[in-house]
Amino acid sequence: MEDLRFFDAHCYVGRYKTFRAGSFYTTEDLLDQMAYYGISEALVTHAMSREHHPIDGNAAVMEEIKKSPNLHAAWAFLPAASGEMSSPQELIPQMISQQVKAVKLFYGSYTFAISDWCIGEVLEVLEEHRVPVFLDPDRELDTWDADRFDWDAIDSLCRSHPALPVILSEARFRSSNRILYQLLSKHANLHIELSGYWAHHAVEFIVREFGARRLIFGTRMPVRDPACAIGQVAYADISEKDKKLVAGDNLRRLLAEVKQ
Amino acid sequence: MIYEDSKFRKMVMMRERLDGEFVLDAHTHIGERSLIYHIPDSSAADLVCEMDRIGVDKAITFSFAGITSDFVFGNDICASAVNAYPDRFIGFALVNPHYHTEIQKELERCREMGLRGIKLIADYQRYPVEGPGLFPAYEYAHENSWMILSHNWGPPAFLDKLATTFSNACFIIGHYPGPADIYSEVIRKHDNVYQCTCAALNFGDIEALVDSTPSDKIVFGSDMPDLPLMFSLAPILYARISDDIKRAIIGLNAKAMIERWPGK
Repeated sequence: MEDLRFFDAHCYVGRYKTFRAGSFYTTEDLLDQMAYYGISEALVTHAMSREHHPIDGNAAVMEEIKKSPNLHAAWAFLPAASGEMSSPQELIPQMISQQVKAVKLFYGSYTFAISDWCIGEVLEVLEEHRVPVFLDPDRELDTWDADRFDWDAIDSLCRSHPALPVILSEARFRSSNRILYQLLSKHANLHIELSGYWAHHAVEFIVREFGARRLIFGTRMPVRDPACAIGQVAYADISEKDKKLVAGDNLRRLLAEVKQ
Repeated sequence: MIYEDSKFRKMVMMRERLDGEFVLDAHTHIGERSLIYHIPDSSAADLVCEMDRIGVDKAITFSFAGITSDFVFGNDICASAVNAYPDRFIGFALVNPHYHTEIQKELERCREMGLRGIKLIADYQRYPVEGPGLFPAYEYAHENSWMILSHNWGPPAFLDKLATTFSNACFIIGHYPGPADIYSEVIRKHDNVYQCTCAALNFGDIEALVDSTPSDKIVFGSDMPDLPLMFSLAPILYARISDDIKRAIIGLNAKAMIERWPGK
């Protein structure tokens, strides 16, 4: 059986607010868990990037990824007008030059809108460089909230930025799959990260109807059990080729397509 | 034991079927359509295919329709699946406490159709979990040695009272209640209370459950086709617990439970 080369698009290092005994938070422990569960690579965000401030979290994750070549950093961003972060025109090329090729917008945690009037300056530069953007509507890292996306905003965002790879990532997609399919049928740049998409044959249906390129494997470690997402993908009733795309090659391709 | 050497971990890493093991899924739904979301590939035949593909021998099942709509319509769907696949599905009747005067009659109808347990989900039906409208179901289960799986049993003291009063019935806690594991004392106290693994999906949940609860009282439940079957099963197969405990949780405990509460 060929290795699927899982590439986890959604995991964290660093102390997070609701840590529970039996879980973990260090990079060393993350690497141990990746080995135990058979995950080859991970796109890592520092917990401070979503629970405190992107500037401190983004700096911290750069130190953590030095511990393994299998770890890749993802940075969080805020709207430009507060001036808390350097201008997107300045910061995003700097970010890419440091081999950081993915961005997370924790707009539920930081309370901003994903409409162009609010985050448009950031999105324009990310689109220019083809940087994949993960949209995360949840207020908390460890939550059971579901269906928090503003779907009209996502429709507008995908329409306004057709060259921007948009990846939806939330704690739980539950009642929203009828809307989701409608948007997947309209926007070729829309993708789903799987750690919160717990639905029977969701992988099979999306691959069949919209193509395997739309799905990105993710675990939400250290909050969720990575075996959930691994089981969903590893045993999906899809071709071996499509399974490899979902497990990791889609994310590898998106990161490789980022323009300097 | 070195958990890396677990037979079950190796099977899932190699993406193998669970051949040679008895696997019983104690928490599944039946019916191709739902108010809540679109459910692809979910006919009874589809679910049996999914069970075959992964190596699941049997499943306890109950209707989707009865959760949000007409429980009689839903029970007919469940009975149809049981009659089409009598060796694969164990059907539970779903009732709605707002129709409490119809419950005993409906359960008798379901018994005649081949169902042999009860599913309760009062939260979704906007009815208090401890409300009197559910007592006809407890009485029927007590009289007929049936199993009852509830989405939520409310406070542990309430489940304690039920397990004492309706001692011939078997009470299955339908979802993992979280690391606080509020029901562990009740499970230890009563032979007729079991814990389902359904929704034990946070890091370390399975290990925490085995730490807090007698492992012979834990039964695997996936929630298929709400949740994907392997989404729920893989955390048990990977868990840092012994293979003997995994084997018990994925099938042998439920087998023993069903043999003890076969349903009249």
